[in-house]
Amino acid sequence: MLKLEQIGKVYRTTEVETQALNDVSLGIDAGEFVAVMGPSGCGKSTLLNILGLLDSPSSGHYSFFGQDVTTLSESELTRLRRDSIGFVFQSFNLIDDLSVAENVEVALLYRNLPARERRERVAAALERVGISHRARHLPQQLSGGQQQRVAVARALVSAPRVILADEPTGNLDTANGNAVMDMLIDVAKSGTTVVMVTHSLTYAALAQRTIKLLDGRVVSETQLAA
Amino acid sequence: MLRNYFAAALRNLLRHRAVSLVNIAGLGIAFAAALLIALYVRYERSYEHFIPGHERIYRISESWRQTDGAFESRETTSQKVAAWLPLDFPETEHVVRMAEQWLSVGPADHEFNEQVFEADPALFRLLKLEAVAGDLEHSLDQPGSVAISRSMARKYFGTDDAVGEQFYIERQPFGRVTAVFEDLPPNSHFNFRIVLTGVGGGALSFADRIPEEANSTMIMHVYFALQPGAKIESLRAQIPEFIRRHHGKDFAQSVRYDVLNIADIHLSPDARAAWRPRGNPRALAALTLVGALIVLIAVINFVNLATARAAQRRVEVGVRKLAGARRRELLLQFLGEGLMHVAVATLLAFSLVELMLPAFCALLDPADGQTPMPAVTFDYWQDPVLLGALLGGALLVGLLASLYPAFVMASLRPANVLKSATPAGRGGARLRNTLVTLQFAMLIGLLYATMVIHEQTRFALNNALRINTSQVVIYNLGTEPGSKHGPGTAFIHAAAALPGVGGITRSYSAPTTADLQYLVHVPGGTDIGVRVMPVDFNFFDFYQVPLLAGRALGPAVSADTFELTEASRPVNVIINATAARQLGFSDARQAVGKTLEPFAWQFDWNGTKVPRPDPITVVGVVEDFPIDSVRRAIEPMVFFAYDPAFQMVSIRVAGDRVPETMQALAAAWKKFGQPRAQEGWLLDGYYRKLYADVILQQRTLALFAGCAVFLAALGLFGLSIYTAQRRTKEIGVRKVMGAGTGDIMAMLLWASGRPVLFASLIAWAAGYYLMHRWLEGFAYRVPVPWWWLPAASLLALVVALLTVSAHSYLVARANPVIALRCE
Repeated sequence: MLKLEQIGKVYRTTEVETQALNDVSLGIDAGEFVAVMGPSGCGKSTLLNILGLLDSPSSGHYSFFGQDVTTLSESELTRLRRDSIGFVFQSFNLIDDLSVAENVEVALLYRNLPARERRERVAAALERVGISHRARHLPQQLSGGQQQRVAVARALVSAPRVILADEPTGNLDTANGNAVMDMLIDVAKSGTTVVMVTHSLTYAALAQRTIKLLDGRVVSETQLAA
Repeated sequence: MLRNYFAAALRNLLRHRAVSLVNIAGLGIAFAAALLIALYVRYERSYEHFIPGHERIYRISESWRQTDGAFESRETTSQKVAAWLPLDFPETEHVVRMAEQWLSVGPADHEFNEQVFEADPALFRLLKLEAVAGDLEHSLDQPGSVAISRSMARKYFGTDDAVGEQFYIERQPFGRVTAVFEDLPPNSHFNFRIVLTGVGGGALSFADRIPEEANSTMIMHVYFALQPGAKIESLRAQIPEFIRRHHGKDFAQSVRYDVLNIADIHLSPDARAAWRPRGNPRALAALTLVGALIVLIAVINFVNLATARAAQRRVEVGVRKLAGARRRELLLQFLGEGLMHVAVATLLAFSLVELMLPAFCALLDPADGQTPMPAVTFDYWQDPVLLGALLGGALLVGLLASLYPAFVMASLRPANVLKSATPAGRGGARLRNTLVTLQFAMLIGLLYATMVIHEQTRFALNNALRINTSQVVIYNLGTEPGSKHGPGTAFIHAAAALPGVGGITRSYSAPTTADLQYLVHVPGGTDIGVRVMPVDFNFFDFYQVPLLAGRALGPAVSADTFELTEASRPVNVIINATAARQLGFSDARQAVGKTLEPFAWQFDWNGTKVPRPDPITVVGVVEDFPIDSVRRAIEPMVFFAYDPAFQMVSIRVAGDRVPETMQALAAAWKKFGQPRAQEGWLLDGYYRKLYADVILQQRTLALFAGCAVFLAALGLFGLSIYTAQRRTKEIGVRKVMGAGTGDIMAMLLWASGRPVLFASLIAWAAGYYLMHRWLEGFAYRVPVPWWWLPAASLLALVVALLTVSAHSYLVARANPVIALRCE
């Protein structure tokens, strides 16, 4: 599981000190689908960055599936992130110069896998999200929804233990948003932990638990009725 | 993984064609320019390398201290040194003397004026040149032998194998051709094409008839080889003792012997009696610096554009880092991309050099009618060292250019870049501005240097000469005054009658050299060294040299003409302003009427001793004009009229009839100037040869400064595109707030032009210092106005503004709604 204990995060510049997170403690079980909500500037992205080992807390402890990560080196964090975490972003963040298949392959490039195995896993991931017919296309040739499918495939191809989604439906219309949510639910059902930041109450309601943040603090946790 | 990297790099390059083109073209042009310079420098340093064993072949020459204390260097020495060398230095071998003169060569129906060299028999054992026909090494062993070059063999005999053919000099049978050698390449200070032994009137023949104890000397070039195992440093260390032994203690401080390896002669300091124009090591160093600056400008362009584009690759960097890429892997990826650009640029550079090399050689051609065009080659496929050096250099520059942008991109934090759709931060803007400022500083410096060198060259070729050399043809009447060829009176009368001839005068030598030297003083005064030059009465009128005081020499006054008589007689002379000053006269008028006394009088003309003239009276003072180069200070001169000494005829040709008049003169010579072949040479051509290195600097600097301007403009253009893109939102907001097109343009143009102001501070200091040092190499320099420095800055500013103005206008005119919507 993911366990945060009294996590605080302060951003300091020469003139300003900002408390992005303040005494945040929460636990996320393996295979749980959690939504994180809150107004702009409440610390959602900061929380996601800490969960995704992209940023380190100023105080507190973070245990990633039993391993205390607050004392790990940069290379150890990179290895852990590579092997265990997938990301899905609001703006897709596909590489414009690579094809769909090559974009998905990027997630496997740094794991010393043979080329054949990479190709097989990429094909399987594209098939899973229903975009394999566009494997050779470039991102700018796809619609928004299709691009987000590719992003999901890229997140899944490395078989991560956790998927962190930062407003994955923010740039999509309803139909495409629903399709992406269906994929995430499906992923969660297969045992992958999913943590999703969203502004949509509708989509948050699809999660098993919703955590609300305000001014860097957890103000409520709502369990989905079984 | 490599395939993924390569695919990303290639598609990125194609997607941003404009910027990729700017980068690759800029680097390619810079590499090509630097490569051309490097090839030329290599060529200049390769003189005599074609001679086997050149490392052991040396020339000995002498320098004599002048009255001002400075040593005047020559390429020659006396015949006595050639005799002393093997006796004093047994480690020398094949000591060879060489001397040259212009003679008529060929039978009457195929006759030309040629520079004929007389040499000792061991010449071709010393210089093991490539033989075309005959036994070259022993070709000069017998008196009356002639060895000629391949081109001479074809010219006179229509065949390469001219061995056994009869050779004619002055229309008389001289001897037979004993060998033919390959034409000497242009990168040699030797320029002989005809070499013979035992020509009757030659310097070596004269020298051989001079008794050893006599004081008379003949001046010639002397070469020798060092035996294997011997050290030249040991020989040089014994030179002071050599001088004392042969010149005595009294002269030990007045003479110096220089022993130079033949490969070092071309780039050694200027000396009199050189066969070919010298190279200029300072000019080569300056060119090398320019080449490095050009590459630096291109590297700065590359770094600036690459770091500006780093923001556009932020998503890729973030995604790769999330996927587990370490900084080292990203560094290698982006370094590889940079090197890919450099590889393409290198191929482009190679192609450009292949295409431009002939034109570049033509640019380097002094076009003086005598010096051959440089044969700079680009034979990388035959020279693995050259190829290795080029590829290594490209790799080094590529790494230098790619390292910083690769670091910038590999250091992007994924958390900072993946969330935001807009470029994060200013992405190294401070470094970019610094580099652009540095680029402009180099550009302003180059522009200023080009202006100064251009003006100094024009000054050297025109104003500094102080005499009117425009369209003057020189004819050489002969080296033996009073010889059967005569002073050419009939030819002169015929020439004067030609409609295209504007004036004629005669003199001992052309106003380009004055080899006769004496020490003179006024009674009670100190000796000064003067150069003496016999000139005709109208010499100063012809060359428009003003008379400062007194009168000109003329036929009406008996003493105005020097004559050979048994008894001493008065003679009148004219001196120049420098002589008047050094003799102690602050005003030229004070010198008129004063007498001169020579330090010693030893003057014989063709073996006849001439009594000392008494008195020698100064009747006129003329304005100074330089004999030889403006690099040397004007020397004191004494002029007198002596008809039999007039070997040179100066003929001014009218401006609109040059080809016809030249033909008519040639016909007149053929009719009256027999039996010697003659080709008049234009005086302008001589000065072009004299200032060949300065002209070369002017041309090459202009070319490469233009290249630098182009590269700087190219980089600025690319950067302006990115600056405008980055400020799209800002421009949109400003326009919505009411800014007009002019306001936006002014904002963008100011951003592009501001670096010029800071760059000027650097450029003015460096440019002034460097060009001041360069001008110190000239005794007479063009005055450099103070405003040239700001003018160079203004020019750079105009270039910058013109480069970005069109694009800025389009950006300023764009619809702000579109800009804001994109954001």
